[in-house]
Amino acid sequence: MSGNKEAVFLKQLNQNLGIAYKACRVYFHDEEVRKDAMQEMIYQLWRSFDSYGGKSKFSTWMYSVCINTAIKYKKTIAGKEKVETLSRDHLEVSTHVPDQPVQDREEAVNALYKAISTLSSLNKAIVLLYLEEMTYEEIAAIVGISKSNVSVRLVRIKRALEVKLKNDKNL
Amino acid sequence: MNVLDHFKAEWKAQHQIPEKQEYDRASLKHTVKSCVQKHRKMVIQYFRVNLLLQLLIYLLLSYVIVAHRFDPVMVMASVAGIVLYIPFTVFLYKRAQEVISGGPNGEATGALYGYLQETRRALLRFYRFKKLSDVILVPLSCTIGTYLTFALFIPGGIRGSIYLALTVFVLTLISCYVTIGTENREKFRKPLQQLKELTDEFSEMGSIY
Repeated sequence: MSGNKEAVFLKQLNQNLGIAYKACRVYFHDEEVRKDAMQEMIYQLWRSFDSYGGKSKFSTWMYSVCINTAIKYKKTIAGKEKVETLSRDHLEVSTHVPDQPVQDREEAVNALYKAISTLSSLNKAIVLLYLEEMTYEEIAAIVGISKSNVSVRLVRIKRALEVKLKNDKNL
Repeated sequence: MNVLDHFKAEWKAQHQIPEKQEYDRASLKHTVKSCVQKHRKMVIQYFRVNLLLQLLIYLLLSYVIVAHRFDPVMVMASVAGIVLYIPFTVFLYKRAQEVISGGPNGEATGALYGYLQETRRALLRFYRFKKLSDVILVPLSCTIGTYLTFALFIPGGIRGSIYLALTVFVLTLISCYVTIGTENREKFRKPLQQLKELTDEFSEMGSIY
């Protein structure tokens, strides 16, 4: 490993590590599998770093590598992931009030992850990028579909998620 | 504010907290090393039946070379067998490596749709090559194995027990193809179908650029 390249990579990686965590959380529910997937993402980022070249933002490139890796890894471990059991905690969504405590926020985000887990791999990628406030152009470039396709898909995804979240909230 | 916008705001607030874990040189090196090892293991798993069969052939041929070193015909035949197998083993390993690492350059970069297409193409290329090697190498391995076993260990050789030798050959061939069939279904046909479903999802709504 060359020293300078390694230092630059580590700096960028640590600044954007949350991207890999979020991608892992969206695609994998088993804690152990998530750890392995995280390692795989770091490895793929490192081995692809030479081709990065700074043409886009590091974070955009990182999303691309992490999502590609997550989908491929998901296929590799198909059937090996433990089935997640639905606990009451998973289904309870807070009735949101201003300045809600951190625990409620965690519950809301958990419910969102839970709802996302019902989507297809492609839709998971799109909604993750949408939640990360990427533009339609950026989402289109990362996923490899047209901008209009992103827009149409997002409408459907939002509708599906809202139904799911409302249903969970009413449980 | 609709339900999803509310959750989006929560998402943003929740993920503003920086991650505790950070990578340094040592942890990066450890991660890379362990992933490289894992990938190697996966490559071997990809063609473990073929590899096992080929290893048995190498061992048998090496044994013949040593045990019959004064018989030039046996030595030449065994060396020829090894020379025939080595390129297949090397090529199979390289192709499997390409599949595991996701295409010829092995990088997980580029748009998701293109990446999935390339992954499928790489897997398909490898599967086609593997099927070819299954058709050529498996019967050849079974023939060599049966012939040498009878020539070396059964009095009278193949000619002395032709029906028994044929039975052994057919049973070996059937068991190999049953195992290879299961391996191909799990390691190739199912993943190829999954990848097809994934790429089909991209085109189901019409334009992809």
